Amino acid sequence: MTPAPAEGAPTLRLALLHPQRIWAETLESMLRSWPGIEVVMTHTTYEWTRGAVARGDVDVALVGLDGSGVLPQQLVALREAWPALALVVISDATDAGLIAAIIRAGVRGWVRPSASIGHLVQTLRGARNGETWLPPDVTTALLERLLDAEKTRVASRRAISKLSEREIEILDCLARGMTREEIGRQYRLSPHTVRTHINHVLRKLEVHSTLAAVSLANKSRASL
Amino acid sequence: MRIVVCDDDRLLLESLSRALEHKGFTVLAATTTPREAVAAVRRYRPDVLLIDLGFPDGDGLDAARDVRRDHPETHVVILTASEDPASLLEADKLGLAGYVGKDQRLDGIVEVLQRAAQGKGRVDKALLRRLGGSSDPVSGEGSVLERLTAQERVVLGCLGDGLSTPEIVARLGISHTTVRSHIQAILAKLGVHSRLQAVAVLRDGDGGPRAVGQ
Repeated sequence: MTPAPAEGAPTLRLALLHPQRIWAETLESMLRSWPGIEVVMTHTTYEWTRGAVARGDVDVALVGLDGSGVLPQQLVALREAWPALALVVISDATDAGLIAAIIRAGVRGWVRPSASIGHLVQTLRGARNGETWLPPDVTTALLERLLDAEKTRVASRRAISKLSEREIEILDCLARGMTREEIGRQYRLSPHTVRTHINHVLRKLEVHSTLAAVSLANKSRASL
Repeated sequence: MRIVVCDDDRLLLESLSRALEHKGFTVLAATTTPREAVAAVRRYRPDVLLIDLGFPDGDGLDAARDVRRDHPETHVVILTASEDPASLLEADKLGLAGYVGKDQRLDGIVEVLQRAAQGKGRVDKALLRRLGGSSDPVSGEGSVLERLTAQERVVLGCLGDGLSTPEIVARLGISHTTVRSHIQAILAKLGVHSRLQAVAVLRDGDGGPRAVGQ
């Protein structure tokens, strides 16, 4: 059951964070006996783990996400504490938005709670070596989201291509949060002319508010 | 001591089984479904079956009921991540040998298993009494309940009916996140730390018919 470590591979230094104590404790005892893995620390709360990560003692952090414990923002903070850190999560999340948030937080390894220990160890080693290991259904959800975002981007760009150069400049100003008065001053236009330009932008983009127009402009640039 | 372990989270199942073997237990079978667990009990006749509560295709309590009926020499201990008053009461009614949370230390679980194997284990009556209906109700609970919003009261009522979070989601047609935040708010407003305790306040507070398990 326990495979030999790869020849000459350096020891993988692991921090283990799981909100449920029985998970943290038994995973630790299992992984401690695994060749090539050194469990640097195990804890049920995020703050302690962050300390060890910030000292550079850890190559990989394995984090249990069960909805109540660790949040995507805290994953981001772990990576900020030590940018070379490889993040691996245990999660049964299926919501596409949550999956995207977890991946955006810098997670490069993901195992389902129903996975085997052998698969977990493979994922930990892969993540340490700069690889990305995701469950197939997580990859599907991410790709669908990426393609949807691409479709929205193409449609938004097509709408924006109908605008004149001046209208695009003004939309850009709105996206940066400028008021109509500020836009008028920048381009030496009367408030009336600015309003007319904005009305044209709204009509051409087929939206009813400047907020909707700005959102469309942002989507034309946005990625995942 | 000879045991069978059952949990659909294979990662936990494998590492828990290994850890229990290190503690001197003989793990005869590590299974991922209640059906496999019952089959393993029939085959090996273990001292204790340690089984999770929630499975995608079945219920740990159903397996426990079958085992109690067909193999009364095997004691059953429930291992669970959720504090669900209805299932705790059901476990007590079935005469199960223990009910332990996943927030426990391994040593705590070991202790429960050992008591269970000696036939001394049972669902903690004191816990049941404390959470299910106190003999000395704290005064003024009625006003505590009035701090809840209408929807929080509905959610608390569902907890009183023993519903799990997914069941509340299904009954009320609101999102999982919303249910969770209502429950957080309920716990904070009632000044309690668990769903069980919240339900206890509900029972003591309204003095009405919605007693746990009825």
